[in-house]
Amino acid sequence: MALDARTLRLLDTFALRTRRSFYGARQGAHRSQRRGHGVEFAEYRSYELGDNPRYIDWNLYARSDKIYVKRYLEEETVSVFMVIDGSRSLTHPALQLKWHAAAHLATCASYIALASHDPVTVSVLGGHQSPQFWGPRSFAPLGAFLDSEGTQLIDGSPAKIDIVEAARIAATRVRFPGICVVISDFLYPLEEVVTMLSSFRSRNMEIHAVQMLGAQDIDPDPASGGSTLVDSETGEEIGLSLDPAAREQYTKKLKEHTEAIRQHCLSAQIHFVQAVAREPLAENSISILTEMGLFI
Amino acid sequence: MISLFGTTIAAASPWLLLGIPCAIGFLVYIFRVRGTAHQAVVSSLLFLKELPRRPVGRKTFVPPLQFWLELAILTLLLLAVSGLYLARSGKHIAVVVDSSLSMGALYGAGGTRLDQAKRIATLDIERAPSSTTYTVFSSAKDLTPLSQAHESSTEALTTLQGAHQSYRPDSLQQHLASLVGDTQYDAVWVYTDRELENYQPSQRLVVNQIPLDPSTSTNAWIQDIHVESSGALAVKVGYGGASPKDAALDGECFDGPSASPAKLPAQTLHLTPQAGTTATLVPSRASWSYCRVHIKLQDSSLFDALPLDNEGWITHEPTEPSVDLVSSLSAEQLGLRKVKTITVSTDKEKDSSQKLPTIYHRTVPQTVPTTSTLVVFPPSGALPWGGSVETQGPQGREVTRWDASHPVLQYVNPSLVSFPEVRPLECPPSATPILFSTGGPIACAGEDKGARYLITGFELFPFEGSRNPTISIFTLNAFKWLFQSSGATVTGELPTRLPLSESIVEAEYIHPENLKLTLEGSTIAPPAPGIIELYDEDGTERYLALNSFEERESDLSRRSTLSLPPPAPRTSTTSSPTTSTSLISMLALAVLLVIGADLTRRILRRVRWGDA
Repeated sequence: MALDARTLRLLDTFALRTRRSFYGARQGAHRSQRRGHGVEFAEYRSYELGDNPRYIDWNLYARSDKIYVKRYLEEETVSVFMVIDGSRSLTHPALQLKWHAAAHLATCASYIALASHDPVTVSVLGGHQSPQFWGPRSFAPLGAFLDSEGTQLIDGSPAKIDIVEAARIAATRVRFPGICVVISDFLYPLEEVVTMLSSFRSRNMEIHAVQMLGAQDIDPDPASGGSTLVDSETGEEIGLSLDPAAREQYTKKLKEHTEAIRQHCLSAQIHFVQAVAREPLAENSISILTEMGLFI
Repeated sequence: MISLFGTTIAAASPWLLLGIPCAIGFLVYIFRVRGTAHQAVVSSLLFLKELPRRPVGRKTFVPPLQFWLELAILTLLLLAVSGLYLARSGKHIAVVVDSSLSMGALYGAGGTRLDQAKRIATLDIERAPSSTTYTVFSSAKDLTPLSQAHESSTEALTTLQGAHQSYRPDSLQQHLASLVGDTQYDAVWVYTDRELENYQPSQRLVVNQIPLDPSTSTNAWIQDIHVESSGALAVKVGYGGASPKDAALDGECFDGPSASPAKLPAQTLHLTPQAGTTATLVPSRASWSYCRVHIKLQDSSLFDALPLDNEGWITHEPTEPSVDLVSSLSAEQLGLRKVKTITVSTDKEKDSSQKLPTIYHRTVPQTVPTTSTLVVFPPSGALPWGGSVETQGPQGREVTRWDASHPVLQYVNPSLVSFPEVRPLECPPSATPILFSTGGPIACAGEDKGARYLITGFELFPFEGSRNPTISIFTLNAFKWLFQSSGATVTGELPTRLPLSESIVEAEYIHPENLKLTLEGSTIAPPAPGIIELYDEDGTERYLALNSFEERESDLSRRSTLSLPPPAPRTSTTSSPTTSTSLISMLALAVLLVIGADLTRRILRRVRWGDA
C-alpha cells in the first residue's frame, strides 16, 4: 500500500511515543527498562563485587564513606505489533472500505515506527503474520505484504475465522513486549472481544485498540422498507423491516456494545479509539493517529 | 374454446387453466410474505438479530418487474401444460382444379371443361360455411398454388377465376396423394374430367368429376410433325371419335416474321378412330423458317371438342448439320462420308469455337459436353455423365430386349443383330437404357445440360448402308435424333422450363402472338405451343418450335381413370397444439431453468458459508 508524498510529509512530523518502557532488542530512541550506560541518571546502587570501578561515585564516597555506583537509563527500540482483523466483516467485497482504512492506518503507523528504527510486525487475523521489519527501507515490503493480504482476503473464499483463537496464536508469536495496535470492528460478543484483547495484554504489551466501523455499521441499510440482511461472517440471512424505530434500537445497542468495550479497555489500561472508515483514507488515518495519542 | 378477435383459442386440458388464478394468488402471497429481493450485506447480525422482528411484508401491493416475470412464467407453464392452441373455427379446404390440356375441351355451349369445373367449385365454395378457408391449386404437370393459404371464400372465388388453361398433361394422381397426406387441410376438393376409380366419398377427399357428354369427346389433333429428307412435312394426325370422319389439313409456312406466309396445299384426310393418319405436305416455297399445320373436322354436325391441339409447329434447318469426329480413324475409314445427312469434320482447331455436335469413336469426352454427342464403343471406365463402361462379359452379344418407342430404335429390329463385340454399360443417372443384352444395357440415351447424348457399347462403324441395314438404320436414327432434331422441333410434352444455350440473350414468342419471354439462368418457361425466336449474343436469330403432343390428353374418347388414394384418417385440427404452443412451452422451460440455476447458486452459497 503506497502512501502519497503529502501523507509521507505529514507522517514525518509524527514520532512514536510510549507510555511505558520496554526492554528493547537494539539501541534506540526510547527509554528502556534496562539500566546501563545511557545519558540520563537513574539511581545509585551499592557497589557489588564485579562492578566496574569506573562507575563508582567518588564524591558520594567522600561524603558518606560508602561505595556506590551510578546507574543510567538505557535507550532502546520498541517493538511495534500491528494486529489487523482479517475477518469477512472487514474484507467482504461490500465492506472492503473498512479493510482499506484499517490497512492504511497500519501502514501509516508502521511508517512512523520504521522511521525511528523501531521493529514492526504485522499480523492479520485470519491471514498471515509478516516477518519483523526493521528500518525505513522495510516500508516497501511491509506495504506489499498488506496489499497481498488484502487481495487474498477480499477475493478469496469467505471462510469464517475464529477471532479469539487467531488472536491467541498471534500473541504467542510476540518476541519482545512492546506496543500493540489492534484494528478491528469489534463487532463480536463482548466476551470474545475481551478474550481477544487479553491475549495481547497477557504478553505485557501496551495495547491500543482501534474500532474501525463502516458507515453501514453505524446505520445499516438506509433504504426504506424491508430488507434481507446477510451476515458477512456467517452468510446468515434474516428478513427485517428496518423502520426508524428499529434503526434507533440498533444504534442504541451498538453504542452500548462500544461503551462496554471502552469500559473494559479503561480498566485494562488499553487505549481505545473508535473510528469510521471513510474516504479519503489518508486524512482518515491521520485523524485516527492523532486521536490515538500514540504518536506526537 | 374462446373466440377472441376472430381467433379461436382452445385448450386440450382446460381444467388446468384453473391453475392460473391459483398461481396469481400464490405469487401475491409469496410476494407479500418474503419481502423485497433486496439484499444488504452487514458486518454482523449481532445486534440486528436482537431487534424485535417486525413483519417484512409489504403494506402496499406495488410489485416490481420480477413479480410480473414470475407470474408470466407460471402462466406460460400452465398454458403450455394445458395444451393451449389456436383453433380455427372453420375448416381449411384445398381446392384443386385440374387445368391439364383435356380440361380445355369444349363443354356444351358454355365454355370449356375448366370453366365448368370453376362453376362447380364456385357453387361448392358459396355453399360452404363462411368460416371455411381455402387454398386454391391448379393441377397440370405441376401442382401450383394460386393463392395464399387460408383465403376467405370471397378471395378464393376471385383466385379461382384466375386459374388458366394449361397445355400440359396432368399428374393429378401424385398431387392428390401429397395433398391428402398433408394434415393442414381438413378436406381436399378436386375438380377434374378424369374418371374415378376406387372412389369412396368421404369428408376428407371430395372429387367432383365434370359430367362428360359423349357428344363432346370427338377430337382430332396433331400427333407428330417432322421434316422428311425430301423437305416435305410429315404430319401425323390422331383422331378420337365414334365413327370415321374426314378432316382438312392445311397450314402455312413463313420465311421469317416479316415475310408473308405461303399456304400449304390443303389435304383432306380420312380419319379412323384410335388410329393415326400420316399426311405429307410439301411447302410451296423452297426456303422457309417455320411452318404451322392445322387440322379441322369437316363434318358440320360435329365439332372438334379440343381446339387447343389442332395446331402443330415446326422449324426448319435448311443446312446439313456439321459434326465433329474424335477418332483415331478418318471419316472415310468410318464410312461417314457416305452419310448424306451430316457433314463430318475432323479438323478440331477449326471447329472448336463453334462447339459442334461430336462423335466420339472408341473414346469418351473428358467433361460433360454441352452439345449433342454420340459415343461409340467407348473403352472401359467411367463416363463423364456418370455411369461406366464395363469390360466385356462372357455372354452378352445377343440383344434381349429394347425400348421400341425410342426414336433411335424406330424401324429397327435389334433381334436380328448379333454383335461381335459388346461392352455392357452402367447408364448415367440422366440416361435411360434403350438396348439390353444378356450382360446388361448396351445403349443409353439421355439429355444433360440441354444436350442429348447416346452411348453405344457396340461398334456402329464403318457405316455400310444397305449391307448392314439394322445397324445403319440405327446409326441414321441416332444422327437424326442427336444432330438433326436439335433446334428444329420440340415434340411431345411442352416443358415447364426449357434450357437454352448460354449464348441466347433474348427469347420472344412470334406465333401465335407476340410475347416476350423472361430468361432465367438460360431457361425459359414457355406457356403455350408456338414459335419462339431466339436471339444469340452475336446477333444471329434462331427459331424454336414448341408443341404439346399429348395423346393421353387429346384423345377424349379414351377412358382416363384416376385411382384415388384411400381417405386417410386425420387428426382433427382443433385438437392439435400449434407450433406457437410448443414455443411457449420451450420459453417457459428455459426461464424455469434460469430460475433453477439461480436457486442452485443460492443453495451452493449457503453450503459454502456452512462449510466455513
